[in-house]
Amino acid sequence: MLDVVMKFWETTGYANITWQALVMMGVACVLLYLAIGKGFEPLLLVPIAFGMLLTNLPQSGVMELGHTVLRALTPGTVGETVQMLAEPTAEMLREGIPAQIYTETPGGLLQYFYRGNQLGIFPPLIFLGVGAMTDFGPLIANPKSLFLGAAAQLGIFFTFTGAILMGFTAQESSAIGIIGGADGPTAILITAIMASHLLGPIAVAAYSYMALVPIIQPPIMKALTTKEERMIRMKQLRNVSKKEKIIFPILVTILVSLLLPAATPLIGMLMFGNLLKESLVTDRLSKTAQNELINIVTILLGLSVGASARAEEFLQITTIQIIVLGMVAFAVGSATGVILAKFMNKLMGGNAINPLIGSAGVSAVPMAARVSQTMGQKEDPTNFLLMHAMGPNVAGVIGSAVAAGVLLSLFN
Amino acid sequence: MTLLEKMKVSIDQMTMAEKLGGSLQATVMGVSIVFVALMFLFLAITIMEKMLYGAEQKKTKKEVPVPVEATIEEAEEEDTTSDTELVAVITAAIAASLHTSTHNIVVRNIVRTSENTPAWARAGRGEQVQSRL
Repeated sequence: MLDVVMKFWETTGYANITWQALVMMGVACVLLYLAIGKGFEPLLLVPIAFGMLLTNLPQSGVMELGHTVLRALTPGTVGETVQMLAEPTAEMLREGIPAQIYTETPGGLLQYFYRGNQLGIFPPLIFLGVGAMTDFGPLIANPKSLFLGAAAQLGIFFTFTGAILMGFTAQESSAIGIIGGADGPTAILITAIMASHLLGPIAVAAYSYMALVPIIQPPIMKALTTKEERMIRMKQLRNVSKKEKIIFPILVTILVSLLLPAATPLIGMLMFGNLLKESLVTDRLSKTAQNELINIVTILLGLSVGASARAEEFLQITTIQIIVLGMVAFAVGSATGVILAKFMNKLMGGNAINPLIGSAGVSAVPMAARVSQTMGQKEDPTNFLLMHAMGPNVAGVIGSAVAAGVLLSLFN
Repeated sequence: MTLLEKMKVSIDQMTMAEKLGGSLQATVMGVSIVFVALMFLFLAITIMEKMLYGAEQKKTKKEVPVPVEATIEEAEEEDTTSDTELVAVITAAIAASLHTSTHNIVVRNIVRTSENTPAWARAGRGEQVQSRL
């Protein structure tokens, strides 16, 4: 009797728990608190944190690979099959070896969800939804915002250099640098393709910084601008016609994909989603993309990304390095955006662009734009910068997808 | 083998100077490609704007007087409404939104607030309302 009880005890998680797993469960609970209690990006942090919790429960096996065996088709020909497998000839490889692949135990649930990230399916689907929710109107009305979106990508390359010097490989450094683009799906896609072993820390860093935009950006913005600059009122944006809004996504897809084929999955899906929204004839598809589909993918992506943060891989010195570098990437991106906005403002006579909108060039739609708005209103409550900041903000999404494409084509 | 190619495959065998050189090269290339791509888009948008607006400007010139007349009419209508009627309408609206009877509300004074919402905010609000319909 006691024997049975002992055996059962050995199969429980309590008997198998390690301190590393406990630490990770603690981290997961902190993230859950930040998401639920403090309201930081709950839609992303809740699934990620919960996935992290599940995967670190000992013996849960949610991220286990399936147990797959190769069997001879008929028991009588076992010897023959073994021989053929041991010394396959070109003939056999063409004709086939009589064996079947048989899955004895399926893998963990989240392992299968994770395939969507590994194969690069989920991030572009998220972009489809983002595209369907984005209004490119402010960008079309003020195309100069594109340059602010480009400047903010400097953070990515700055951090790339930093990571290389710290001893990461070019592929790992690319994935770490992308955190500075403040674009979760892009960061996940690049990491899954180039450095999948770092997916846990990079995803956690990228999404935490996106959630922390309102805390990280204001001091940088304040330090780089004067009170007068923060009070600049911008000219009202012109109205953008439906025709322009429909042509824009098609144009961007063609121009960017021809220049940078590696960026096609992201840019293509982003612009396809936007075309569904703006064409006004695919209302049902657009609604699905911006509601059900993006919600489903967010759940699957969030849970499985969280589940990739297992204690063995997460509790390492590299994680701390990644988190620090990610912060640098993000801060440098925000700063370069503001600096270029200041510079453009000077060029245009000193009263045309409020430099506060430059920091919105890191993607993080729409939080970064909201931060520009709040900072502007602190100086002058009747100044509305939100729409002006949306321009660089959506330009940042395009810019970080382009930067990702550059890194992919250079180092993959 | 260029520095970038070397970086792609065998970073461990590179010296610190090579690493720095390679990553600077990547940075310069990356940043310039991002700028070039977005510059393409900038030009494309500008050309698109010119082409569409060059053609549409004539049309809009003809259409401009119409909304102006409409607003004047509206304003006149408001003026012709008698004050008591306005009081009754506003009282009823407040009562309905507070879920109470009109008897519990006394209207002493109605002052028209000046319109200080910027045009884009009004346009945005209008778009929101339209999209919900």
